[in-house]
Amino acid sequence: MSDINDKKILIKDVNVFYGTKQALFDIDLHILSQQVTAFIGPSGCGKSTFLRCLNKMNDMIDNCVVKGSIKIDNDEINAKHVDPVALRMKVGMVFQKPNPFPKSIFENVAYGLKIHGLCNNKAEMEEIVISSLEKVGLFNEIKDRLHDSALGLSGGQQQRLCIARTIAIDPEIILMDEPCSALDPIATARIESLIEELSIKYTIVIVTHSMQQAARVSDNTAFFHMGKIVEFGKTSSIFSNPKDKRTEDYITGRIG
Amino acid sequence: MIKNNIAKKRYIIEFLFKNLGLFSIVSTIVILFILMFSIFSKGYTSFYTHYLTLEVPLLQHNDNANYEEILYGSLNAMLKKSNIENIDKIQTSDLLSSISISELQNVASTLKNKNNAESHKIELLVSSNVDMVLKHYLGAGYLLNEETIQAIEQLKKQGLIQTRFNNLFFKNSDSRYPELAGIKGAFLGTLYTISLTIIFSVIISIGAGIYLEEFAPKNRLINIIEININNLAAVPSIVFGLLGLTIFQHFLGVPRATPLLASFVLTLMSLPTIIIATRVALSSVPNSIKEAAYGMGASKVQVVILHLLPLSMPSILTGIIISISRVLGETAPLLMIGMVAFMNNTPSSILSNAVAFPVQILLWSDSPEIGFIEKASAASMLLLIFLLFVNWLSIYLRNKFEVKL
Repeated sequence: MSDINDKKILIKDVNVFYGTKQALFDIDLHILSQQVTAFIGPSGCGKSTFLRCLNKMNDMIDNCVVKGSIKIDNDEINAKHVDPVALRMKVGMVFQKPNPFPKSIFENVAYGLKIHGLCNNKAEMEEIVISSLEKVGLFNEIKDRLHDSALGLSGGQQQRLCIARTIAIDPEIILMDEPCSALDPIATARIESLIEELSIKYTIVIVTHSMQQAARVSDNTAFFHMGKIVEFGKTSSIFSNPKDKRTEDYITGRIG
Repeated sequence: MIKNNIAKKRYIIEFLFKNLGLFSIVSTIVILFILMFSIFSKGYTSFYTHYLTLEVPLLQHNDNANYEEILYGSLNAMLKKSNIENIDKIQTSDLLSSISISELQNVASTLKNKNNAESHKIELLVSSNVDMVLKHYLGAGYLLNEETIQAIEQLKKQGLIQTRFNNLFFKNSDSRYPELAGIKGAFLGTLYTISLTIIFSVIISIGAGIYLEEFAPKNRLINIIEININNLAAVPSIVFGLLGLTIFQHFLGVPRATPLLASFVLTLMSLPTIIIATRVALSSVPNSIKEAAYGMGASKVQVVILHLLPLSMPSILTGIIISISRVLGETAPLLMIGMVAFMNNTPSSILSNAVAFPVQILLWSDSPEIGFIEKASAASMLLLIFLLFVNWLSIYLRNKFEVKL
């Protein structure tokens, strides 16, 4: 399994600073292709910051500096010359709070196709939109109101719409930043089963607060604490047999 | 017991707070109403004027005809016919407008070939003083004597003086004679100036706002620029006039007293307000939408054009309208660039000399002739109506562009 070829993302000595404050210390990690990798850890431990390094979203924050090497398919992405637009087509992202655009459901899914000019004609676009909505299991629920505002959907539906929007441009990696923290248990269950389905095709990195969720959906887990990776390995072994005391304390609920 | 006391105190404070607000609203409305009443009650008389019907003998146009003699001859004849007393004491030369003689000449030339009538009835504009007497602005003894005023009132009773809609007020530009002065020149001057100002200031300040909010690095230089833009909003308008005079007129050679020069100056004045409004509007767009767009791989330009501008347009429009309404009524900077001169021409382009609406009001209210008072009020009325229209347009556009989040 852990053949070198399977390592989709290879991270070496990543340090992140917000101004003078260091948020991440010497992160070394690899993310395996077509598997779900979960980042767990207490609030403020840097797991979201790290996730945002993987598609250069930290560039938007003025005083944020990312040092070190992040390679996706052996291409260095943590360099000035790397175009974030091309990178984000390859690395999609789903956010904590569902954030559909104030447009129709159709336009939301077609958005990426439009801004990147991926479709030659309307029929092709429609086909991709519908298949994306089908993949997230939303199409049957909303097929009558495809052109209604996306803001009329429920929270869980909105989050699935955001996932549909992301997979419409066919990325290779999907980053999810606590995708279920604003949802109820039923909607959460739907998203989790969706993550499992998507991991057949996509490499998924998910940040989560819920250890149960990490245990349910992920193949590998990294435990972050105070800006450092304490433990990284197969989810089953981390949860059943943690090597570090802090990991054990966290997953048993004694800290965090 | 203690609980009750606290609740009572809170109720009293709430009562006072609410009624203070109510009092403010009521006093604002009352003051506004007084202002409107004062302007409208003085200004509405400007929209009508009076004409004297005069019977003149058969007019035969030739170069030797003495129209002055004909005019006063027929005026005296009419006064006699109407049984007016003390004709010799009446100031006949003060009764009719200064253009009456040339008017008579015009009528004569059009009647050249019609020889079948013995006499002809024409209507001539009365002088401003007579108009003022009829509108009860002017009493006896100041400019017209007792006898003249009695004569005017008698002529009015006999139906020889008629009230007509004052179309000259809309057709003419400024004039030395109050009865001939009109608003057209000032209206066009303001129209050219404001149109150019809107074009310049909207392009420049939205651009500057977007750059400062979305593209500019956060460094010292940008900080200094930001502070200065905010300071610029508080600079007295006359200073902008001085700046326009030295830089645009003397240094760059933009022609003096033209709408183009005025629009440059007013653009400078409106910039800070619109830039600040643009920045506030852009920064109030929810971060989640920006993140969503960037996360989808949108470029900066796409984020600005597809998301930020459409979502912040209503607020930006409000800023534009507030700013433009302010400069629309601005007088001081225009005085500095020579727009205060008496101009009786109608501006034909952005490069011809012009006056602006508020400057015209200033000029008229400053004039010694009593006839200009009502003109100033009427011009204020029209300016207010123009402003109301602009504000209505802004609200309409804002509602149209509003996107529900």
